Amino acid sequence: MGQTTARTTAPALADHVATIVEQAFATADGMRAEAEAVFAAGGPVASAALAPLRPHVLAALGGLVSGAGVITVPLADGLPGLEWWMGADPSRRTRLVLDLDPDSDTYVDLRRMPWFSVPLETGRRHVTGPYVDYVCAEEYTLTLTVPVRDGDTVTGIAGVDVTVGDLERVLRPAIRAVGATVALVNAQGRVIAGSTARHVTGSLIRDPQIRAALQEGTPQSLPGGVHVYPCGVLPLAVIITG
Amino acid sequence: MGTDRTSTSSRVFTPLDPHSRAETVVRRLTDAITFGLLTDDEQLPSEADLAAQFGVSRVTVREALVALRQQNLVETRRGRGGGSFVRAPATGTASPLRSRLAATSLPQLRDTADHYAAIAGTAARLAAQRADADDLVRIGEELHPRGRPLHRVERAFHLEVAAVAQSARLAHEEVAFAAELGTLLWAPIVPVSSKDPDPITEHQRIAAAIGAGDGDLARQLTEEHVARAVERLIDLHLTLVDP
Repeated sequence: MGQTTARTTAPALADHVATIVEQAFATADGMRAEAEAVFAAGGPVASAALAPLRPHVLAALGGLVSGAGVITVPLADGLPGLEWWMGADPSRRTRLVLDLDPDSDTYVDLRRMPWFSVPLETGRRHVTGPYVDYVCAEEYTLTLTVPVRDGDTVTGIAGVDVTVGDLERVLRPAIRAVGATVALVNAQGRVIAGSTARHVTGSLIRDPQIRAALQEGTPQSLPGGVHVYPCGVLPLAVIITG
Repeated sequence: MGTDRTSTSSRVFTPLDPHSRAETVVRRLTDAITFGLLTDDEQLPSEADLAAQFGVSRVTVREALVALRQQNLVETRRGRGGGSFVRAPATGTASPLRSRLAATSLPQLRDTADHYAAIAGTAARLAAQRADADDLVRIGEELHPRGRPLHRVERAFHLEVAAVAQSARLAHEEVAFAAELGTLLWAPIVPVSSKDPDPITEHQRIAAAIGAGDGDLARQLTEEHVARAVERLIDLHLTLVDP
C-alpha cells in the first residue's frame, strides 16, 4: 500500500476511466455520422427526417449508456429534430419528450443546457457533469455530446448519458486497488467517485492548488503528496492525496 | 368548501383593520370574484353596507369600486334596480385554482408546505456547500423574471438551486411540488402583502448566501421565503373557504 503502489495504480485508474468514457464518446460519434448522413442527402430537412435514426439510437443504449440520441436546432418545419431515448434495459425504454412551449411551466430551453449549447457554440465535443439532469431522466449524470454538422454549420448534437451511479459501480474495484485516498473529479473539481466520505460524489474540491492543477491537463505533483492524473485528453482527472 | 353563501360572503366582508385602505377592499373583492365566490352578475351590497361591513369610509369604498370598474370586474348600473354588479372573467385559470384550494384542507396545506420548506431549505444549504462558479452564474440567471409569471420564476429558481445541490432527489421533489402546490402558492390571487419582501428580492438574498458559501443562512432565508408565502395562502384559505 501507500504512495508507491498508489502512484502506479492511480494512473491505471485514470487510463481505465479514459477508455470507458472514450468508448461512450465513440457510441455518440456513431450516431453523429448517421445524423450527418441525413443532412448530407440534400434538400430541406424536417424534424421527422430524423426518425430513421431510431434503430441506431436504440442500439446505442445498454451497458453504461442509459440515454442516447440526437437533438437538433429547429429544422425546416420549425421543430427541433429529437430522437433521444432512455433506459439501458430494453424492456423499459422511453422516448424523451421535451416541452418546447416557452409559455409552459415545464418549458425546456435547450440553449440553457450545456450538453446542447456548448457543442453548438464551440463546434467541439463536451463532457457535461456530473450534474442533475432534471430535463431527461432526473438522474445524477454525465452527458457526453458531440456536434452534428449540416455542411459547415453545427446543427445539433449526438450524445449519450452515463449515470454517475453506474460509473461508480464499474470503477469501484479499480478505485479500491489504488489503496490510497483517491477521487475521480471533473475539471471543476467536482467529485464523481471517491474512496472516502470526505470525497463523496457531488462534493467540490476547493483547494486552489488542486483546482489550478486540474486546468493543466498534464500529470501534476503538488506539495503534501497530492498527485493529479488526467484521464487522457478528457476534462476528468484522478487525484490521490497522501 | 362551503356551499352556504351567506356564511362564505360574511367571511369575504369581515371588517378590515383600521389602517387598511381602498387597495385592500379591491384585493379582497378581486379575490372573491376571481375565486368565483361572487358570481357573475351578482349585485354587491350598497356603498353604505360595504363601508359598514369592511369598517371603512364610504369614500374608500367608492375609490375601490372605481378601481374594480377599471379592471372590468364590476359594473355600475343606474336607475331603478341599479347598483354595482360583478362581472366575472369568462375564462382563465382562476377556476381550477379555486377548486384546488377548496380540495386542500388546511392540515394538508400546512403539511405540504412543511415538507416543501424542508426540501427547498436543504437544497439551499447543500447548494451553498457545493456550488462552483458556473453554478452561481446559472442561479444568477434565474433571478430575472424575464416576463414569466411568478410561479414559473419560483419553479425555475428553486429547481436550479436543487440541481446545484447536486441532488437528483431534491430536484425531483422541486418538480413535484411545483406541480402540486407551486402554481397556487405563487398565484397572482395570493398577492404579496406590502409588509413582506418581494419574492424576487428574497431570491437575491438566498443566491447571495449561496454565493458566500453560507449554508445555514441560505437555508434560513429559504425557509422564511416559503413560510411567508404559505402564510399568505393560509390567510386566503381562511378568508375564502369555509372551515
